Amino acid sequence: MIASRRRRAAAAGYLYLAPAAALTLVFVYWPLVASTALSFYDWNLVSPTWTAVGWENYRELVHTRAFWLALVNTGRAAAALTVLTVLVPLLLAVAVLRVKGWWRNVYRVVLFSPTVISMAIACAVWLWMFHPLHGVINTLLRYGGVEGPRWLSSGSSAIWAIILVTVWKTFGFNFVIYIAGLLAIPAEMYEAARVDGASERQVFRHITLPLLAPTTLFVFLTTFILSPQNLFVPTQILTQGGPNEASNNLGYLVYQLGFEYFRVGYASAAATLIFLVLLALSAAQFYFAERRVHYGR
Amino acid sequence: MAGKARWVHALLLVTCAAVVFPMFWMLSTALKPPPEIFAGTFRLWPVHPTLQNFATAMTQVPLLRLFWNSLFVAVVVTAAQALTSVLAAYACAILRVPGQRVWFGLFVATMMVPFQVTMIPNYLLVARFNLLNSYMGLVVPQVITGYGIFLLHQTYRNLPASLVEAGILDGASSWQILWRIVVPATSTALAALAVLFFINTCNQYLWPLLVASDRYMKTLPVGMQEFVNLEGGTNWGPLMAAATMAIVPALLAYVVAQRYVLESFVTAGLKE
Repeated sequence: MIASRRRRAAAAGYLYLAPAAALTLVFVYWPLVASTALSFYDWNLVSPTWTAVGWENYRELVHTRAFWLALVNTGRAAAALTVLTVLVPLLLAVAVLRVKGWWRNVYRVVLFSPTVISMAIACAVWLWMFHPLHGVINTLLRYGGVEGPRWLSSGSSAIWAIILVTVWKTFGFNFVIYIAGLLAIPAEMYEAARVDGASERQVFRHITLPLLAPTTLFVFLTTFILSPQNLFVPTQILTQGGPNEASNNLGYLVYQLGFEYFRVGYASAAATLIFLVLLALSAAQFYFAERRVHYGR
Repeated sequence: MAGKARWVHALLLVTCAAVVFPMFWMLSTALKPPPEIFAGTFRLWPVHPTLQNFATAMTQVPLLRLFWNSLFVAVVVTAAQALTSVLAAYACAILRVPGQRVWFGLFVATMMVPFQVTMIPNYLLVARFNLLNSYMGLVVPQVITGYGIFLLHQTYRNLPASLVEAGILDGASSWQILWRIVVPATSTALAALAVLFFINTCNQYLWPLLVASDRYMKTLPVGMQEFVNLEGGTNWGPLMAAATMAIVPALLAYVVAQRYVLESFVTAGLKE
């Protein structure tokens, strides 16, 4: 009697799980397996014949300049993005909380505004601003007697243009998270420190920063995990990975190989490698960040 | 002290100006006639403002249709994400289901998988079922949300147990407990999540780019790119006009509901 009722309750429980479970299996976990399987084939997206090629796709990939460039660029961009989109929002949040009343909200609303608009549309606007001849950036530089570079088609500046746009578009989220984190620190903590004669800088270092550590961990992890995905749209719209692969990154490389060169197996090999690299990196980062937060207190 | 406050204001004003400038420049360019766009001199505001670019944008690209596609897809995806997250979070956090911890782990782990890693098999799957260039193909793969399940799971966990127990004592079924007790008690978190889902889906680019190649099935962020690299160069004026038409309603809605939107991001971000 009880056993059968329990079984019925469990069956009902599975019905609640079913929609999300089915979607997750079909659109995330099966594709992960399928992508790995595809990586051992040579297929051009339309041909009826598939050729099993063993490890050939992987071998070709690690011998390609484009792959290593994309890997290095992704690492560089992720590092730059993580530093910038953690530091800048923290400083801005501290500054905004110094302001009282109506202005505080104005600053908050304005600084967050790029976060709510579409990255693809924002990139179209930046594409125009970066235009070498008529773009506003080079027009202004010309007033200063400087001939600006071709921002998006020069190997040294293209990736920085992508990073700049990504920071502009995404820092707002971390900014409001930091504001919430700062507001959650009890005022008594500050008062106690001031009574003890701590300087403003000391208060920031020994009270604010340690108490913000959980917020920083969250911001750090989400920024890092999302950065390869955040890079895709600006890369696709601003540079298509160019010039000569100088601004390419792993996420865009998979798209390029799969949907521009139609080398499905080869692209899948790249996708599988990215997944492994990211998995290892996030595991390592989580491990270190976790220790820091616990021992830092 | 007053001097210091002035410095903070100055710093923030300059930062705000820099942050807003691209959007301002978009509007300003959209209102400029072609000679002013390519004049080579810096002018904040057009001398002879015109709506010509807006008219061109409307005729060159099916903008209204793109608007509708974006809106429809975003509404359906948001509703489906909210529903599936509520059900799954309820099963994982409140009901007793064998294996619920494993499933919860599988849902949350999806957040660590970048979409680029799974996009090729997803595309092949949707193509196999002839769903390219269809709303079905645009919507369904976007519905999975580890994030929503994670957030609601934390929220449901923090509900007082007495609330659910009272329902059980009244003889309510698990379905009734969910919709009459759990969901109403956590409506703020759900609303915050829905705002986030909606903004996120509206701004989605990569999946619609892959699935919709037909210009009448594209979403707004994808369809707009038609202006880039038209034959004879990018059509900057109409492109900025289309961008303005896409961004200004979103910004206005944001400014009107700013308190609410900001709170949504914070609640959802801090997941507690």
